[in-house]
Formats: sequence, C-alpha cells, structure tokens
Amino acid sequence: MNNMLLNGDVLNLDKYANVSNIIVKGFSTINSINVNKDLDLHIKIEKNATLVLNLFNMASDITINICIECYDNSKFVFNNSLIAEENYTLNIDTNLYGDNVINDVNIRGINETNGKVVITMNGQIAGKTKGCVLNEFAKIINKSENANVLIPNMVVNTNEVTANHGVSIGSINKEELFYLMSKGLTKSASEKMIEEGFVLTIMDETNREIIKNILIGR
Amino acid sequence: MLKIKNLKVEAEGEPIIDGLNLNVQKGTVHAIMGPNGSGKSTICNAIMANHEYQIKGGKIEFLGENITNMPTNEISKRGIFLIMQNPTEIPGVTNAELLRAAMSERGIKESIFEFNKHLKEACEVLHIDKSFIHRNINERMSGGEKKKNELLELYMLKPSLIILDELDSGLDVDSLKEACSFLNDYKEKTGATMIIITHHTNILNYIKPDKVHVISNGKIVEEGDYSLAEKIEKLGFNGAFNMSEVGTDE
Repeated sequence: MNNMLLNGDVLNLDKYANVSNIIVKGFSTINSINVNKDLDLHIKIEKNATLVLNLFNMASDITINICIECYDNSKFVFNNSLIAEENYTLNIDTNLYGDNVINDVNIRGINETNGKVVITMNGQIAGKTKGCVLNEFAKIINKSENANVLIPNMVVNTNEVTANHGVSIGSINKEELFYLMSKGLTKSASEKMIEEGFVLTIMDETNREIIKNILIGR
Repeated sequence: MLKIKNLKVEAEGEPIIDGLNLNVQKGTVHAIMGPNGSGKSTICNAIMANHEYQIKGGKIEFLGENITNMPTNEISKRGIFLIMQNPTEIPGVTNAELLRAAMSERGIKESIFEFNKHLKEACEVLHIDKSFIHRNINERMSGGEKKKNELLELYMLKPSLIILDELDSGLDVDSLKEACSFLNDYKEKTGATMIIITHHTNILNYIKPDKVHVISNGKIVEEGDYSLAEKIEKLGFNGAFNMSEVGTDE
C-alpha cells in the first residue's frame, strides 16, 4: 500500500505508478492517460479541497476500482473517456460525508467490436448532510454484440440534496454521420471523427491534445 | 447541371415525393416553395442521399452523371453543398478538424500555415470571430452562428451547387441580409448555381430566383418566374393554388 498527499498538485499516473491511497488538499488534479493497467485507488478529499481525476484508457482487459470520500465543501470531478477493445470494468464509489459537497461523474466511451463494458457508479450521500450535489452520467456508443452494463446507483440518506443520474448505450448518431458525410468525409472517417469527439468532449484541452495524438493510429 | 426525373422518395415507409421533375441550369437560381409538409426538405435529403430517405424510383443527374443513391460524401465531393435548416451539432469535433479532413478528401493539399491563413481570410470575409475555427461544430451556437458556420465551410470547400434549406430559419433580418449578400458575392465570383428551399418569400427579396417552382404533395404543381413568388406573398399558398398545410417539414 502506497500513500500520497496531494496539496494543490498535479499527479500524472504512469505505468509504473504504484499509488493506492491518496489524501487531497487544495485544488489537485490526477491524470491517468492511456496507462491501461488495473487500478485500485482510495482517495480522501479533505474539507474545502477539489480533485479533478481525468482517466483515459484504450483498454484491452482492465479493471478499475475507485473509492472516494468527500468532506465539507469539497468537490470531486471524474472524467473518464474510454475505448474498450476488450473487457473494461469500472467501479466508482463516491461517498459524500460532509455538507455542500459536489460530485460530478462523467463517463464517455466507445465499446469496440470485441469489447464489453461494465460500469458501476455508486454514489452515497450521508444522513444529516446539507447542500450536496451528486451527478452520475455515462454514455456509451456500442459497436459490439456483447452485453454492456451501466449502473448508476444512488443512495441518498438526507432530504436536502440535488442528485441527477443518466446512462445511455446507443449507436453512432446518424444525423452527425450524415452531416460529416455531406461535407465530403467517408463513412469510416466520419465515424472515427464522431467517436473520438464523443469520448474527448469531457476532457480538458491539454488532455484532449495528448489523447488525439494517441488516437492518430487508431 | 442538375436534372431530377420522375423522382419518388419515401421516409419510414411513407411516400413523400411522388414523380418530381426538376431541371436546373448552370449559374441559375431556383426557388422551390411550398407549404409545410409538402416535401421540400425531402428533395434536399434525396439529392444528398440521406439514408433516412429511400429513393423508390426516378433519377438524379449532376453534370451528366447519375448520382442517385451515390454515397453522400461522393455527392459532396462532386460539388454539391447543402446548408441544412438546423445544422447538426457535433461535440468534440472542431471546424478546423472537419475542414482539414474535407479539403484533404477533395485532394486540396495545404500546409497548416496555408490552411490557417485561408481560414482566417474566410472569417474576415464573413465577419466572424476567428475563434469559430477552433469551436466544436455548431455546438452551443445560436441559429445565426450555425448558419454562418455553414457559410464558412462553403467558402472553404468551394461548391458549384448550393442547396439552401430554409436558410432564413433562425436568422434575424440583419443576419439574413448579411448571409444573402455573402451568397450573392460567392455566386458572382464563382458562377455557382443555387436551389433555395423556402416556404415564404423573405429570402427571395435578397437572392432573386430565375425560376420559382411550387411543390404540393410531393409534386411540382406550378412553375414560373419571380412573379410567382410575389403571387404567393400576396395570396398565400392556399389562396394562390387552393392548397393547405399538411404537416411539418423535417
């Protein structure tokens, strides 16, 4: 077990990172871009702290477990873009223990022909807390015959809360496809552009550029 | 330039166009007018081979080539540009990315430097902010901005036939005037051909058609010059031709 304190820092996880317990103070960011290995993170976000966790995987077969604890006036933003070439399993547990905690979970993915995506979002808001906001959203473009599972669970033990969740699994948007083809792009080039735009739209500009470079040869 | 012969089109199993004929000469402006639900937008979608519409009969020829059911991208590359009534938003894909790919498909080779210069020039001509270049396609844009975005793409891709599907939809008077002024200039410089799809005559005050066609129930029922549009303006479709609205256009 490896512990780390982030105090207004940016942590870039790479293939060799071996961190499992993280305490967050200040405004901190964790980037895990195309690391593509199993991940088991337990993160405690202290009072008044913010954590943005950007996760991108073009994965063959990985399982990711993330457990988050949030305390008063803290904020957690989770942006997960993925292209599942085979099995992609994500379990994200968010626990809102304090007042005025904001959690935004955004997941966008492409499930490739041989892919299988299983995502479980468990959001729990503790009793007697006030002013918390919990959002859980996941959208997958599915190109596979395999079953996909998206579960947006919410356990709310208090009355004063704003909570939203939504998931969708669908195919590529035909209007978008027609639009790009009507400008002269081939069907396959249009699909690639739509898919990559779809997964990248939740990422910040810096990570978007990094990921675009990774996707060039896709 | 464009010949449509006995075209029959269905959408979701419902016949919409039923034996439509249209002959558009190079460098001319044609207006296709009709009440809501008459099949106007279906003509654009059929020409561009939108897979949501099924061509059940007839033929569409462009510059002597049969383009009926040709893949949409091939039709576009031959020089036909559709300005959609509600241009689609594409999250995460910038105008620059689309245009660079679309120009590459047309065999236009420009270095990044030349491309950026070309795009900036287009923004100046259209009086739009250069930030448009790096904005996602039509995302979070007003109706007017979306139409300007389409004109930006048109300027870069240099089509020879422009189809305007309800251009005035979402545009205020000033924006419509500005868009039409750009299109008139473009036509003058390039000799482009235009087909204007509209259900009222606002746009025809700014781009004068050589020929006006009136469509009802999927067929051209009346043809004439600009005076036909004036008659519609004065009497309405029902008053002029004893037809009524039958639905809502796509």
